[in-house]
This record gives sequence, C-alpha cells and structure tokens, in this order.
Amino acid sequence: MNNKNKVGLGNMVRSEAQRVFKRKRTWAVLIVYMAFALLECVFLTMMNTSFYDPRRSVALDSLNTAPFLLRELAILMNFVVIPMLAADSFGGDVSSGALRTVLIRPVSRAKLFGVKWLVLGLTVGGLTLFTWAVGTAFARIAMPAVEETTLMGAGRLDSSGALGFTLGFYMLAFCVFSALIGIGGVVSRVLPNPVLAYVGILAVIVGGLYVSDRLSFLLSVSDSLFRFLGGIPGSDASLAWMLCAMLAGCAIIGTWSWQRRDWTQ
Amino acid sequence: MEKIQQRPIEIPQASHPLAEVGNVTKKVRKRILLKDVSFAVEQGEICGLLGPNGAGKTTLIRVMTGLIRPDSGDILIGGRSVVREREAAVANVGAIVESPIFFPYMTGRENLDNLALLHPNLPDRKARKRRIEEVLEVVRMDKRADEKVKTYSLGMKQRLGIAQALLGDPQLLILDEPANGLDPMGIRELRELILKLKTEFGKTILVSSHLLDELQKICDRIVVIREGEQVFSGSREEMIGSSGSLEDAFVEMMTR
Repeated sequence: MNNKNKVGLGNMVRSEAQRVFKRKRTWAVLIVYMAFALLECVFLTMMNTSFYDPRRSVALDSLNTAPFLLRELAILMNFVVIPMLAADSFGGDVSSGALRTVLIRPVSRAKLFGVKWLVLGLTVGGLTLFTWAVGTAFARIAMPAVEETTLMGAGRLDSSGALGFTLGFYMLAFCVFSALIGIGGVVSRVLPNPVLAYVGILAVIVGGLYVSDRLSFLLSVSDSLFRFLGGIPGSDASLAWMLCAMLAGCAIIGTWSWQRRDWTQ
Repeated sequence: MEKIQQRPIEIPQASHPLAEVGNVTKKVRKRILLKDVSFAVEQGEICGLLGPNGAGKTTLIRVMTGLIRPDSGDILIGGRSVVREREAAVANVGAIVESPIFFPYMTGRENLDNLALLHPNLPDRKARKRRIEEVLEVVRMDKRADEKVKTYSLGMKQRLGIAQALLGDPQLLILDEPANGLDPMGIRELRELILKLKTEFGKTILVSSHLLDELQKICDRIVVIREGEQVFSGSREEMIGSSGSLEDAFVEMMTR
C-alpha cells in the first residue's frame, strides 16, 4: 500500500477530536472541572494553608500556591475527568457499535489506539495547563506576595526556583494523567461498556494500592509528586520508573489488543 | 454523480473476480461459525448472500471487512489479502456491517464528514465536502442531513449507511441486511438504489438478506450458507432451476 493510499495521521487526529468534542458529556466534564478550579482558588484564599501530605502543612504565598491548586483538583481529574473521557473514547463507541464504521476503514488500529490516547492526552494536557495558568495568576493576584518561598525538600526558592519546581510538578502530574489514560484504554478494551469501563478504571486506581505502595501515585498524585520532587526516601522514589513502565506497558498492550483482536461488538 | 478525480486505488482487470473468498474457516472456542466457505464475486455483478438466522452471514461479512480474522483461508479484494494487507484490501470496500449504527451525538452530515476524513482518496476539505453532497443526493438524504442521527428512522439510517459506504467511491459494496426494518416503499426504494449503483455507477455489490423476492429481482449470483457451510454458489438461474422461484429453491435447500 503506497503512501497516497494511506490515511494521514492528521486526518485521524481530526476525526477522533471531532468524536470526542461532539459528545455533550465531554463538555460537561470540562466545564465542571474548570468551575471547580475557580472555586478551589476562592477556597485556597480563605484557607491560606494547604498540605504536602496528611502530616505536613504549608502556608501558601504568591510563589508556592500553583502546585497546591492541582493537589486539590487531581482527585477530580483521576476519579472523574479521565475515567469518564477514557471510558467514552475507548469504550463507548465500541460498545454501541458505531466505531465499526471507523474500524472498516483502511486505518491501522494500533494507530487508532495511539490517536485516541493522543487526543485525550492533549485534552487533559489542556486542562493541566489551564490549572497551572489559573493557579499562577491567582497566586500573584490574591496570595501574600513574597520574594522567597519554601517547598518540601527543595529548601528556600526564589521566584525562578519556585517556577521550575511548579513546572516540574505539573509535568510529572501530566505524565501520571497520561498513564491513567493508557490504563483507561486497556481496561476499556476488556470492558467496552462505558459504565463498566469507568468502574474498572477506578478499581485499578484503588486496587493498585493493594498491589504495591509504589502505585499509590495513581490515588494520591500530589502527595507522591511532592515526596518524589523533594527527594524524600520511600516508595515514591521509584515514581519515574513506575511511570515509564506503566506508559510503556499500556502502549504495548493497547496497540497489540487493538491491532490483533477480533472486533465482535 | 461524478467520480472522484485521480482515483488512487488500483482497479482490478474486468475479467478477474473483484472479491474472492477462499476456504474461509472461523471457529469460536469449539463452535464452527464458518467452514471452508469459498466463492467469488465478479466485477459489476450483484451477489446475494442467503442463509437462515445464525447461518454465518454476518460473520462472513465481518471476516470480509477485516473486523475478525479467519482461522484459515483468505479473502482477496482487488487481488489484496484482507488477512495479510487489510488496509490495502479494504481501501476499495464500502460496507454496512450488521446494522447501520452511527455516532448518535452527531448529525448525518457530521457523521459523513467524520468518516470522510478516513478515506485516502478524499485528501482535502473541498473534495470531502463535494463527495458528501454527492452521496447524500444519491441516497436522497440531503434534506435531513443536518438533523441528529438519533432522530432518524431505521430506513433513514439504512440510507445513511449506504451513503457512508459510498463515500470513498469503492468498487465493492458489502451490505448486510440493508432492508431490515424497512417498509414496502422503503424496500422498493432500496432495490432501485442498489440497481442504480450497479448500472449507473458500475459498483459490485454483495448483499445479504432474508427477502428472497428482493434478491431474486436484483441478484446475478447467489451464495447460500447454512450452519457456517456453503451449500450453493452459482447464478440466480442455476439456483432457481426447476423450482420456479428463489424462495422455493431456498426452502428446498434448507430442508434437504
């Protein structure tokens, strides 16, 4: 099959993005998340304090607030936004039979899996970026202005150091969200019914704790990220390796199962 | 309807079968769904796929469109193997499999636009838009195309299903029970549409149906399967033989 008979990756991405953003549920989830982000800002202003983990609290200021906004919202992201979007995208159209019209087109199913992951990744990446932008702007406007701040394990940081820590925190958080989307893709291949897929994804998040403490980052993203970035010894020290293994595992299992398995729905 | 210019897909020679099903066998656990099914569909003909419920018609269509892989055997479409080079083989196929299900949160036109992005011979927006209007006109859905698919009747969904199958201007159309749920007027319109696709647009069509009268009116060739096994493959006239009608011949075959 020569290249001019192949469907371009750009067209595949556009086609998938159309399907994702034509669903009312996608917009409902995005709007609810953004509304919560704004409400959370108000809440942080009132509290002026947040927590690295259940034992350690921190006074919020203009330089260290942004990571703590994501701390509050990561639960919503991991338990509502990503499972719902992944269950709809990877499972919903398969379960209804509508994806058959796509699967009989001359497109690689492994690429189709990758494109679904990419489109959801970009969507969740957009929300993560939105959270960082809102958190940073809000901290500058509404939190006590400081020249230096402290962040767990990182000691005293000036504004550029705090920005670097915050960006690292958000990028790692995005990697965790991406891994969870991949898990959603694999779970939805086994349980294409969107409700079962949603429950299945939650079961993996919670069940991971029973498998190993090292998987606790799926449940409590920010606590693990603070401990990892702060160089605190413990189960979160291996977070980067665990994330890489999870991303690679989901990519391999997902592409294999989409490419090789029979489509009977 | 104009054909898309600079069609990139190679069209096989007219003297060769467009589709060849060769010794296809499919098992699920120990149950045999298809056993050694072999037949060919010549270019420009309408081939009817007949069989009682559960005979394996939809399974065969799923195998032909690459949705499931056969345990043994192969299908060649335009000389390309669906098993080994699925993407190349199905590039020249348009199909409705089982029932016309679309993305319910989109309108008919949006569904076609979404699927048109996945046709290699519709590379730009202008070509896609033109082709969508053409196929909507062929199936006479242009007036209702901007309504959500979830508001469509089954007959409208069938017509939209044919429209999506026609999007890439394929040589081979595979239609699985396209008359399901249609009223007599709808069935008549469908028959006229299928004949028009053959005579005016030169399409080769494989159609499965329970409606023996309809198949008798449109098919050049008939393939009959029962419990996964092929029991007949030949011309319509050969099948009817001395029975007088396709229905009588079919009933005789099923009770033999």
